[in-house]
Amino acid sequence: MAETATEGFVTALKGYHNSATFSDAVIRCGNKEFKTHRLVLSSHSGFFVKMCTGKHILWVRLTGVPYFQESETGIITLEEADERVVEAMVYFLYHFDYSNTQGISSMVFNAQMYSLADRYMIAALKHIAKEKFETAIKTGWAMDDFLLAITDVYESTPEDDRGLRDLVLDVSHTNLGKLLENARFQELLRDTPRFAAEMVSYGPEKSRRDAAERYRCPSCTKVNILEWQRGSYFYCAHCNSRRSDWGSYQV
Amino acid sequence: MASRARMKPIRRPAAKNRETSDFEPCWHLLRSAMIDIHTKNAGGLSFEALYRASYKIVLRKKGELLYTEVKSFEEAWFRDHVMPPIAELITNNLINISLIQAPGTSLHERRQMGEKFLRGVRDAWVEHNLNMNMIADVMMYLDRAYTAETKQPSIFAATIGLFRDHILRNTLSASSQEQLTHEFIVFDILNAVVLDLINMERDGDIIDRNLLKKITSMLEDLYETDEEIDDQKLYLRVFEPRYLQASKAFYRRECERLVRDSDAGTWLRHCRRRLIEESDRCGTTISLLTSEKISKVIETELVMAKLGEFLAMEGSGLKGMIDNDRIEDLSILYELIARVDPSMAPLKATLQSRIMELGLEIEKNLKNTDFSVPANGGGADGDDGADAVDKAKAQPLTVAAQQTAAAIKWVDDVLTLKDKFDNLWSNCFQEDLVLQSSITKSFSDFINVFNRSSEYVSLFIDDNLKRGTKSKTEAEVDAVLDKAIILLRYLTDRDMFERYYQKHLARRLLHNKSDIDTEKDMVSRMRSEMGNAFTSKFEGMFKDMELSKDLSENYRDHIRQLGDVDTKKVDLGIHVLTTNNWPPEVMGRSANQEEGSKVQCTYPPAVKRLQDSFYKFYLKDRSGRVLTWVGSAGTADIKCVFPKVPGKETGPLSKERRYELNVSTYGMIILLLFNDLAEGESLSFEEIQATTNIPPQDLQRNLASLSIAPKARVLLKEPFSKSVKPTDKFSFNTQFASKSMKIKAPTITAISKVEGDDERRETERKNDQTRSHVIDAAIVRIMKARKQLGHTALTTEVITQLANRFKPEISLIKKRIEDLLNREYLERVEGETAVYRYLA
Repeated sequence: MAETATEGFVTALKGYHNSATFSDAVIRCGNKEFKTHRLVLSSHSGFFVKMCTGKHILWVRLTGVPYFQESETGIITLEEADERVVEAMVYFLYHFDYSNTQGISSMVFNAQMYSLADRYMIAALKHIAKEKFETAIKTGWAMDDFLLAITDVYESTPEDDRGLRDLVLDVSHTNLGKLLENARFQELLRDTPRFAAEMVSYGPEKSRRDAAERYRCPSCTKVNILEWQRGSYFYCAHCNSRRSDWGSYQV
Repeated sequence: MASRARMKPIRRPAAKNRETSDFEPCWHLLRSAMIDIHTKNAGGLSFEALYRASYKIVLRKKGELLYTEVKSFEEAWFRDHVMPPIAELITNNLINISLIQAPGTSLHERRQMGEKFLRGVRDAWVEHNLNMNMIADVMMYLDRAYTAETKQPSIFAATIGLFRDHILRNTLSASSQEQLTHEFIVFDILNAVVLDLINMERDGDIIDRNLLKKITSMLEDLYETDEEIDDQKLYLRVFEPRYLQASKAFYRRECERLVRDSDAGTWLRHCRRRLIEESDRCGTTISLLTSEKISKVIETELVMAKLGEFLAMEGSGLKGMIDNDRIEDLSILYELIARVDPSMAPLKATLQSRIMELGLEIEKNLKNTDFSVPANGGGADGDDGADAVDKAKAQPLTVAAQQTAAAIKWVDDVLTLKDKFDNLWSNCFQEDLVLQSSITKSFSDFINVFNRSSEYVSLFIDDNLKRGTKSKTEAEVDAVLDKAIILLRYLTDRDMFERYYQKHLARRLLHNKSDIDTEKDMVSRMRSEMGNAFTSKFEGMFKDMELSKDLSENYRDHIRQLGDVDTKKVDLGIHVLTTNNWPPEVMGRSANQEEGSKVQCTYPPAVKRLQDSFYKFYLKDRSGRVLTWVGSAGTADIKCVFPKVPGKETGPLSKERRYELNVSTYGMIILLLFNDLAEGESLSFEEIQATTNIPPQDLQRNLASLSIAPKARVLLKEPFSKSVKPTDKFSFNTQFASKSMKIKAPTITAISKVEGDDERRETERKNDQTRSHVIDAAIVRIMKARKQLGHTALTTEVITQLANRFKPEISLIKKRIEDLLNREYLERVEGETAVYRYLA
């Protein structure tokens, strides 16, 4: 019956969600407290590994010089995070999925979840948050909290992280006419210059990207966006190598 | 839904202008935490808070700033807090000792000072390493979002490298060392101290291995640059080359000392111990990365460098090891050489030449041994008369018996030698295949250099099979046969052996001297070793013997049915031998064959009748066959009656005596002549010869056996002497008496003796003749298949084809080719030199 080798384990793990059994770490956020397990936390992210690890470094044990307080106390206090988002995050750590049950705007909620996942380096959560965010804005862009979500995205994720930014830009670009009718959107453009700038260049960039194909240069492994046709040659923009066989390296 | 969202606004990190303003408080927090970490106050720090601070800085795009700030903070800290204590350790004294090797300090002092320095370095490193780990942990987000994106070394790599840049590579320019010709860095001191300590340990001191291990693993953790490229570990780039160089020098000196002061056995054990030590040292003191390389150093400097000199050492060298069976020495030697040279060249050469020497010594000993004194237990007794044993002890052995003894000694010696090397091979050389083949080759070489080896091997088998039926157990005989087969493998001239074996086997079979089952066992072993062709003649001989047995019985039945009493109770046991299977000597056509005349002796009428009767019987089932009676090969049991000697009243002579006399067929013919002789008459040698037509040589031998040997002296010779001359006269010995009823006349032909020089030359000549035919056949066979072939190719092909039988001489092949050209089997191809064409 087992579809995958891990199925039974995954099911059993759910039972330990917020359970005192074997619990050796507590996550605190605001007024909430969740019983967790260092092993589970560490399996999800290197952030938790480092946080919990100290006690186990041989040198620390020998010399008695302590590591950080979390490793001593087992109490992990997460600050500057919404406790409702943290609660869902903890849920995810044991269930590999979460849902927005708090009645918060799902666009904002998922944007914050994405940011939190990025901050604590939980790759799987980041991925799932992105999917949920995409569904949410595609249906909810007309509502005002889309604008809140945009602000969140531009403030709480690193600039290089295109994950949510491109989604936001795409939806905004598609529905630009409607959005511009909204004064708040115009205000947002003024307050968030990065967003405004990216919006401006997004249109042409997008149409160019749609027309062009992506090729991975075999000599420098970087991706080129080219309008290449069979029989012609192009220089790689990164390493300047000339070739006419880009067709074999399309990605 | 939108309204609901706004009603419950989510708490969010507010303030718009955080991008720049956030940095200062966050950095401040981090900076004070870093100080806490360095001063061991980190216990109260919250990892989350610090992480969050660095996260926020990076999120606000200040990653670069943070990166450089952290780096410069650490550099400053390093300069102010880590380096000073290390600098204190680097005293002028330490520099003097480690780099200049200034004299005047005791070993103990040197060790203490070195270890103190290393301990200081180690402590600084361990602490630095831990601190950098903690700080890098806090800066995780920086590494992921900024450092990795911008392809810079991680914050850990960038800060851990400080240790390399500011301590190890710190130039000692400040120190006023006039003796130092050029600048040194701390790394040089570190290396020198470590190497010095390791050399101390090699000399038997006890050092702090853990300390050294910590230092070397530090070098393994540090790289040439912050990029941390795998093969650029400082350990591999800087330490290891120096370590290997120093070890090289150490072992070179050690090897020179050993070759001067010690013997090879000590050296071997020393090499083995050093190899184990160094391999252990890699595990406990330095790094396993070096294991193979340091082994190589020992192999070249300690094992190979003076290998030749050690092996050549008088007494303890390889020769001594082999001669005295120093199993352990040789085992170590094998292991060592196996490491450095899988072809075993140094060992192989000496081993081979030693075997050759020992082999030739056997031959030399043989020449110097006096076999005229019988060996213990009558083992060399070539004669087989049971009652002759006690006499043999008193008498010097006959020439033939001496030669047999020599053959057996030779075989025994060779087998002993073989056992010795087999023992060395399995106990010391791990049954190495290369060595096995070279040992085998050497044995084969010296055995074949000895020109009587084929004959001696055959004689050895002969002797054992003859005596085997009497005194030895089955297992013993088995072992002997095995040994014989081993020797057989070495022989290259197998056709020579075949010839001798045929001759010896014929004698054994005809005179019924051996156990037929053992004989068959031996031959079947030979068959499995050398193939069917080799043993076909021997098997034919067995078959003849069996058929003859049946034939004799059938004939007896036949006679009984006839009820013919006219045969005067002559009972015929006959061996019908197929000419090709049996040696020509036995078939009575030895020297005479070429002259074209087969000597047929004249049988007495009684025997003649019997012969005719049997011939008739024989032809009943097999028409067209010709039987030739070979008088020289048969025996006869004769019942003799010696009448009472008149005038003797007492003693055996006073009665009539009946004896059963066993003589050769010729002997029988001779004795029958005396039946018709009146008392007192005699026959001269010539008369006997004329009547019987027995070849003079055979006659001479048979008369000798009947008239000279005391136990069967039924004839009296006039004049009495030790040898028979053509002028002698013979008469019936009426005085003959013997204690036993059955008397066997010593049959000279039945003794398998070693050939005399003339005989052997004869055998070789015959053998060469046979070989010529075999070579002819091979050439024709090859040319028929190839049609056209060059001289060299043809010669090679012939040698390959005949390798299993013998090693033909090149000159002989050439002669045969020329002969075939003359006989127009082949022709030369015109225009080409030395190419032949087959003429159909």
